[in-house]
Amino acid sequence: MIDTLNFGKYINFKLNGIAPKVSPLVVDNKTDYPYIIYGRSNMSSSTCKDGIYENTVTIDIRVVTSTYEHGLELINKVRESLEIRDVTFNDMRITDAYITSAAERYTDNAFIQDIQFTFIVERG
Amino acid sequence: MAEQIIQGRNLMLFNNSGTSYAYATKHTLKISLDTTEVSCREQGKVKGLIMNGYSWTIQSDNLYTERGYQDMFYSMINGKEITLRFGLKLDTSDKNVADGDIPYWTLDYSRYYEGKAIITSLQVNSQNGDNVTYSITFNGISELNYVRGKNDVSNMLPHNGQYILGTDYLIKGWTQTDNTTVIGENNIMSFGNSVIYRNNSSDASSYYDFTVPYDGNYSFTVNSFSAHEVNITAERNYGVFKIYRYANKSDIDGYGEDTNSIMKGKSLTKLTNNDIETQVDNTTYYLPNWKYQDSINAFFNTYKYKRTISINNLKKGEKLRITIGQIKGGTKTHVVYSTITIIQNK
Repeated sequence: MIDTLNFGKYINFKLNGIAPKVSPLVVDNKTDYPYIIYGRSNMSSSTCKDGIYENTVTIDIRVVTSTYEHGLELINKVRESLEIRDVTFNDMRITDAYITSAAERYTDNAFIQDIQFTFIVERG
Repeated sequence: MAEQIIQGRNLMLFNNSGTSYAYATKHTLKISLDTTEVSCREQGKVKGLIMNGYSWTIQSDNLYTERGYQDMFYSMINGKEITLRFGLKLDTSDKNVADGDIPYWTLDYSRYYEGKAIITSLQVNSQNGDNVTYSITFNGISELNYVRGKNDVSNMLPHNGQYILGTDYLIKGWTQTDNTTVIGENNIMSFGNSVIYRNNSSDASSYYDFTVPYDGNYSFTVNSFSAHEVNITAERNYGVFKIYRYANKSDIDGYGEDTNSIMKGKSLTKLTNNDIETQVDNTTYYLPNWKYQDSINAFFNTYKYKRTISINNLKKGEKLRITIGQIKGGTKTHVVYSTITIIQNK
C-alpha cells in the first residue's frame, strides 16, 4: 500500500517556512495573515494485474494574505516548492506534480490565492 | 450454483516457470481457424467450411520497465522460442505483487493453456503525461494445449493452510523416489502417487524430501489405507533426527494402543534438539490414531489410519525426510496408499 492518505505530510514539509502558519484544513480565527492551509480533495488508484501501482492525489492549497502582492509572492513560492518531479519522500516517490487549477479572490479583508496540485505517487 | 465469473486480474500470462510477467494490464488470447470454403449439393445455399488448421496469438500489454522490455527485446530479435502458459493465478488474496509481498504471481497448475511461441511484434508507447507502456505479440508455433497439472504449494505453507498431496498438488522439494529396498517380483515403489508395494522377503519404504520453506512449527499427517503394518519416519536433516515406530498386529486390529512402540527408548537416544524432545513428550507424537475400516479377507485386511508427526521450530532450509514403509512379512504383496497433509502451525 502506498501511504498517500498521509500525503499532507509531504505538503507540510515542502511548504513549511513559506508562511508563519502552514496548517492542514483549518486555522484558528485569530490567526494573523499570512497563512497557508491545505487539504486533500481527491485521491484515486491506478491498477494493473499486479495490483495498485500508483495513486493520483489532488491537493488544494490556499494562501491568505493582507496584500495582493504578498499573496502572489507566496503562491509562487508554493508553486516552486511543489512543482517538482521524481522526488522521494518517506516511502513515496512523486513521479509527477502539476497544477490543475489556480484562482484568486478577495474576501473579508483578505487576499486569497487558491491553487490545486495533482501528484502522481508511486511506491518509493 | 452457476459457474464463477473470472476477473481479468486473475487470468493472465505466465512464463515457462509459471511466474507472471510484471505490470501487465491486459492479455488477449486469440485463436483462429484456417478454413477452406466448400459447397456441395447437400448443403443447399449454405457455404460449407473445412478446417485446415488453426493459429493462435497472445497479446500482452504491460507497463514499461527497462528489464521487462529488454527481456522481450532480446527474445524477439533472437527468435527465441518461449513456452507460454495462460491461466489463472493461484489464489493469494492476502498477498500483492505491487505491494512487494510476493515477487510475481504463480500459475494455478490445476488447469491452464500451454504452447510455444515467438515474439513477432513489440511496441513501446511513450506518451507525455502518462506511463510508458509496451505491447508484445506472441505468435504460437506449437499446438496450444489445455493442461491439467499439479500445483506447487510450498510457497503457500505460511498461510497456515492445509495441503493434501494427492492428484492436485505437488510440493516443490518433495522428491518422488524409487529408493525401495525391496528385492523380488511385485516390488514396485511409487511414492508420487503415494503407493507402496512390499512383499514377504524385504522391507519396503520410500520417502519425500522436504526443505522447510519458512521458520515455523509443522505437522505432517499421513493418511493411509494399508493391508498390513506401516511405519512412518521423520528425519530431520537426514539422520540427525529420527523417529519411527512399527505398528504391530495388535495395533492394527484395534486391541490396544502403541504399547510396543520401539520409539520408546531407542529413538529417543537419537534426539539432539530440545524442541524435539518436547515433542516426544506429546503422546500424539507417537501414538497413532488407528481406525479399523474394512476387512477383505483373512490375509488382506484393509485399514485406514492417520498419524501425525509434529515438529516445532523448524528453520528455513532445514531438510526433512518423511518416510513411509512396511517391514517384510506376510504371504502376499501388500499395498499402502497414502496422502500426506502438511500444516504449518502458528
